[in-house]
Amino acid sequence: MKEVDELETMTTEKILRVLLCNPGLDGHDRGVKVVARALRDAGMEVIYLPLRTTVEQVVEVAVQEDVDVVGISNLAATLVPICTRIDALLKEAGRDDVLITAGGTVLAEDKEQLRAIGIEGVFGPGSDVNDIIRFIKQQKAATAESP
Amino acid sequence: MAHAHLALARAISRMERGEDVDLGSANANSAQVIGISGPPGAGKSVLTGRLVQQAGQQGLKVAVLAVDPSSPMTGGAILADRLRIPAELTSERVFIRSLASRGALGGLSRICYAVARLLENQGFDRIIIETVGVGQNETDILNVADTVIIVQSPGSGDEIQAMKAGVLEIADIFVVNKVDMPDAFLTVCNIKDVAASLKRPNWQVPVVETSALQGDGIEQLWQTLEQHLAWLKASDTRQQRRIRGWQHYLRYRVMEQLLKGLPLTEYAEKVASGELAEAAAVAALIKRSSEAQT
Repeated sequence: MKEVDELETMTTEKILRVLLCNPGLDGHDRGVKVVARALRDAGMEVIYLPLRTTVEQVVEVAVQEDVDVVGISNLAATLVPICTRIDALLKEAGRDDVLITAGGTVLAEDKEQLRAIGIEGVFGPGSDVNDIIRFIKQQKAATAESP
Repeated sequence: MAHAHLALARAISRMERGEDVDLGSANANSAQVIGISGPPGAGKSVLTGRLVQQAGQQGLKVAVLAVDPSSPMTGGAILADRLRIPAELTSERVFIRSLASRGALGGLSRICYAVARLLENQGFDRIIIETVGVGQNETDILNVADTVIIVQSPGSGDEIQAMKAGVLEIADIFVVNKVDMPDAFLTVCNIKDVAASLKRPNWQVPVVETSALQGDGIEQLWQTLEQHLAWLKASDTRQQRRIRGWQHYLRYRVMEQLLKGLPLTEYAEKVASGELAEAAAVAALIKRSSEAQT
């Protein structure tokens, strides 16, 4: 239980911070809200952004909030260009350590193109939120171990 | 080139993990720390966004700390104050950080006071701290802010609610938001009664009526904040509040150090099962803590 020794656990434990966003001209936020709830229940801190932000705003927020993960939702068939741009801007800002995950309407060719720029966590329709949680935890545990 | 706010953002994360961070001392007592508190849904985040806009128009550097609650069950949190702050305000001139309360129960995160000092020393002129949505008793903001704004909205109770001790007593400025709603004047009347009863030397607590969504009353609120800043500078109130802030922050840091690594759960189990008396458990824990320090 957190209450028992909260001073201990709440301040020294590494809590994962995740930015969830839906940049570009896409009005579908049902899925990303479900993911937000699930990540909260998995003990993560979720920074939630409004619809219709720009990729530059997403990266500015990611830096200011010092997030470990950026989750990008898109249901308008523009996942690849948005992810590519955010990936490049994060590197430019000195945050090449951020894990990028993507979700929403994933076209057949999207997965391959995203893998080509190093984005492995791509979750299309019907994905289980537990798989998303497992993926994030495994990836961040792996990078925490490597020097 | 690394991003302008990268080091600052990283430093705040280290503070959240309980690490020592050099807060600097370059611009001590140069900023106005504005606390915004009030019940959930009163309009704190929208007001915060409006004040960020105002500060920007005055050419001031502004930072926001927006606190939302952590889950007592999992430790997770939804930090959604940014949702209400217009995305176009996101820029290198404005620094906004969402913090989870991480088990603190006074409406803030424990590190808020120290983060405010860090931001002040880095040259931010206005530091706005938005509390979690509060009930009647979360008054930590009083130990962190130079100017406390308490936001109320129509329909938040009758004059008996307004008579109760707690959050309403700590206001330097009241805001009644959503004044475009029906029956808002009743809330304004009730809050004006409370404001008149608060005794501050040479400062009559004002009641500002706003509609943050429409943008009404914001300029008046900004002017009221400027008046309070002038009052702070003229009295020794700001210095007194800073001392009280350090008092609370130091207490937390000491407690954190003393509790580090203590097997509280183990002793809780012993007391619960009747194996150990409460006083004996406390004595044993204090002994272990002092052994760990040496």
